[in-house]
Amino acid sequence: MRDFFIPPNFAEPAAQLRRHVNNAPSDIMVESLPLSVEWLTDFVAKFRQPAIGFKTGSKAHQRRAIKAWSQVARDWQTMKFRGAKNILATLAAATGFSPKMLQEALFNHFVVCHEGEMAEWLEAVKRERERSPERRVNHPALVFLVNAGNIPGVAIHPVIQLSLLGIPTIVKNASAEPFLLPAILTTLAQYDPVVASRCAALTWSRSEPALTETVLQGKPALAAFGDDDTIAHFAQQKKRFADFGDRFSLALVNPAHDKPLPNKLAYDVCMFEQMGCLSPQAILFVTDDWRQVEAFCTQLAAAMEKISRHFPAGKRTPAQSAVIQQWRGALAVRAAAGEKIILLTGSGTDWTVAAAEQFDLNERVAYRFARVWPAPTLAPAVAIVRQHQAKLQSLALGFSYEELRQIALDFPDLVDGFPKILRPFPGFMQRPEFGWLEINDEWKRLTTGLRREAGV
Amino acid sequence: MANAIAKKILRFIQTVDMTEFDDGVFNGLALELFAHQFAQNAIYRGVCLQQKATPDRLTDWRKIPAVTTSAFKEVPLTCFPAHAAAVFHTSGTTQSRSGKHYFRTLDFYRAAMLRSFAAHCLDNPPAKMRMFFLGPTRELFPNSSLGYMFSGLRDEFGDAASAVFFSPQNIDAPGLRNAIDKAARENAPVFILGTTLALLECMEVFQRHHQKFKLPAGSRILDTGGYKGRQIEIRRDEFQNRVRETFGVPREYLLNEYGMTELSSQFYESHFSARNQQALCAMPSAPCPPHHAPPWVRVVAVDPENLAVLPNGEIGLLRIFDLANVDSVMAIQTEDLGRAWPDRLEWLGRAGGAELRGCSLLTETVARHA
Repeated sequence: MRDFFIPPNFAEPAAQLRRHVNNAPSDIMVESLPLSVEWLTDFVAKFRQPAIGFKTGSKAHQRRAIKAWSQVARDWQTMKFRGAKNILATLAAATGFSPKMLQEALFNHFVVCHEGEMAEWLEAVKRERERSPERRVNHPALVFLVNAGNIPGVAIHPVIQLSLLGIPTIVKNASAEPFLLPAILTTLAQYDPVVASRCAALTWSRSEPALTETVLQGKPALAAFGDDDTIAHFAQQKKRFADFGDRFSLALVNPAHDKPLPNKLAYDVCMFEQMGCLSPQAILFVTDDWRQVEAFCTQLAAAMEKISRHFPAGKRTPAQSAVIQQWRGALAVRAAAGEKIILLTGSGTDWTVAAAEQFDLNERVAYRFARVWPAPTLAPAVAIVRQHQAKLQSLALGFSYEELRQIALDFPDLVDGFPKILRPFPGFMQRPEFGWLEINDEWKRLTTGLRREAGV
Repeated sequence: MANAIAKKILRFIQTVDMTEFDDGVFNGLALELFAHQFAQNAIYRGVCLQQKATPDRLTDWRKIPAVTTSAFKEVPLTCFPAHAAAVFHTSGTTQSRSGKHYFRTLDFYRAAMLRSFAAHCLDNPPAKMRMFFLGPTRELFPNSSLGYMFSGLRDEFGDAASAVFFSPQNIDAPGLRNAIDKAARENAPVFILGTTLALLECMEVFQRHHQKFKLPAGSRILDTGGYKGRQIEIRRDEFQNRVRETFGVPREYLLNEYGMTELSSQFYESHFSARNQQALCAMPSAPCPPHHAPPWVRVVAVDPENLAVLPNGEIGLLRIFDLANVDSVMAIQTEDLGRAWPDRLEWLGRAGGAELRGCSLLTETVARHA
C-alpha cells in the first residue's frame, strides 16, 4: 500500500518501503515518499494553479469530474475492484476496525456520491454565488486539507467537492491511517487522470513541522479535521480557516411509534465504533416511566448484539477495553450509591448499553457505548440539546409525523432552528448527505467562493 | 472491630520487614479489611453485592471486588461519616471532572509513605538530605496527594536548606540552579524530587543557557507522573540520559515513583535496597524496570476484556490492593497497563485512549501559564 498520491504529471522522489507505525510498529509495509522541504516547495509551486470554479468553460470540467467520481463511488460502494480486498485488510489493520465495518462505512460515504447528487450540489453552490454577486471572489488556487485518523474517509466528501470545483488540493494524511485517500485518488486517476491532476495526498508526521510550514507558505486555504488540539495548532497559523474539530451528535426519540428504532439507533452507535462526530453520544428518551426505559434498553441491547455479529467490533486494544471498563465501573458505583442505572453488556467489551438519569456529555464515550438518557418531558430534553448546541454536529429526531408537528409548534427552534446542526433520521446518522459539511460557515465560504458578509 | 483492624494495619505498615512478602499474613489482613469496608462503606457494599461477593464467601484477597479509578469521580467512597481529615483530588482536564479520595486520618498514608521512601530512596540508615522540590507541596496545593507526600518527605527527611521551586505560577529554574550551585560549593548531596514534566521543563531551561551540573556524590533524582499523554513525550531512556547529562548523576541514582491519588501507598523504581538489587539481577534485560511494592500492597494484572485475574508476568490492566486505603476502598482497578508479580509491577503505560490525568498535568498547566 502507498501512503501518497501524486498526479502522474509530477516527478516524485523514489518511494521507500517502511513499516507502518501506529503507536507501535505494525505488520503493514508501506510505500512511502521520503519528503524533503526542497521537493515539497517545488511541488507546491507547480501544483498550485487557478481554480476552475464557475469560470467560462468550467462546465466541461464539472461534467467529467462528476462522471469520474461517480465511477469511483460505484467501485468503492461494492469494493469489487482489483486490490479492494488488500485495501480493506490494510485499513482494518491500521484502524482496528473490522473489514465488514469498514466496507459498510465506505458504502455510507460513497452511496450519496452519485451523479445527480453531485450535480445538484454544484448547482446549489452556483445559485448561492449568484445570490450574492458583490461577495464573489475567485476560489483559492490551493487548499491544504489536514485529515484526521480516527474516522476512515472523513475527508472523502470534502475532497470530491474541491475536485468538482477544480481546486488544487493537497491532503495531509493522518499518520495513523494514511492509506485510504491515496487509494481512492488512484482509482480516480484510472478513470480520469486530468481530474485527478488537481488532487494530491501526502503523509508526514507532526514531528515534521517544516513540511507543514512549506505547504502553508504556498498560501493555501486551510481545512483541518481533528481534535481541539489539532485545530488550535492550525488556527494559530492561518486566518482563513475551516475547522471541523471536536463535535458530537445526539438522538432525541420516542420509541413508541417506531418498532425498529432500537435497530436503527444500534446501527448509528456501532458504525465507525462511535468515534466520529456523527455518532450519537446519548439517546435522549422522552418518558417518565422507568419501566419503558428498561424495556427500551433491553431491545437496544439485543440490537447491539445483532449488529455486533453482523459488523464485528474489530480488535479492541487493551487501551480501548480499559476505558470501557472505567466507564462501566463509574456507572456501577453510581448504581451502588442508589441512582437508577441500567447497565447491559455484551461479551467482553463488545458493546454496552447504559441508562441513567444524568450523563456528563463533556465526557465522551466511544466503542459502542450507548447512553440512554430519559427525560420526563420534551422540555428538559430540549434544554439538554440547547445546552450543547455549540458542539452539536447532528440531532436525530425519532418521532411520529404527528409528534414532529406538535414539537414544531412547541419548540420551533428544535425543528427549524439550530441551522448549523444536521437533522438525520435515526438509522441514517452515519450516512450524511453529500453537502453535509455546508453547516460549517467557513467551509461553505470556501466552496462557494464568497467573502464573509460585512459585519458578520 | 473497625479500630482493631485499623490498629493492626498501622502496626503492620510501621513494623513489617520491607523485604518480606508473606501472603498468609497479607491475606488475613486483607480479608479483615474487606469485611470492615463491606460493613462501613455502603456504596462499596453495593458494588460487592452486584458481584455477589460478601465477606463470608471470600477466602482469597485476589477475589476482593475492586472499584475503578473512575468511581472516585462519581461518589464519595468512604467508611466514615462526612468529616474528612483530608481530601485529595485527581487532576481533572477540560474533558473530565476530577476524582476525590477522602481520608478520615492521614496516619496510614504518612506511615506508608515514609517507610517506602526510606526503604527505596534513602541510604540505610536514612539520613537527612538537602531536598529540592519541583512539584506540588501541601501549602500551595492542599488537595494534591503528591503535595502532601512531598511536604511530608521534606519535613521528615529534608535538611534546613531544603527548598521548593514549584508554584501555581511558575517553575523556578534559576532558583534551583542557584541552590544546586550552593550545594556543590558545600559538597552537600542533594535529592531533587519532581514531576517528570517539571524536571523536563527545568532541563530545557538549563539547556537553553548551556548549563550542566555535577551534583555532589550521593545526590539522587526522583521523578513521578510521566507524561500522561500530553503534548510533550519522550522515551524513558532518553529522559534519563538527559537527566544524567544535565545533573551529572549516575543511572543508579535515578529513581521513579508510581502512585495515584486513589492509593495511599507508592511503588518505586530503585536500585537501593538489597531486595531491589536482587530483583534487578534476576532480570537484567527487563524492558521496563520494575517498580517495587511495599509488603502491605499486592498487585495483579487483569484481562482488559473481562477483568479476569491473569497469571504473574502477563500483560494486563493493573489492579492494586492497598491495605493503607483503610477508610476508603482497598482494591483499585486502574487503567494502567503492566505486568505484575506479588512484590512488584512493570508499568507499561496508561491506556492510550484513556483520559488525561495525574500530577504532570498540573505541571504542564503551570508551565503553560508561566
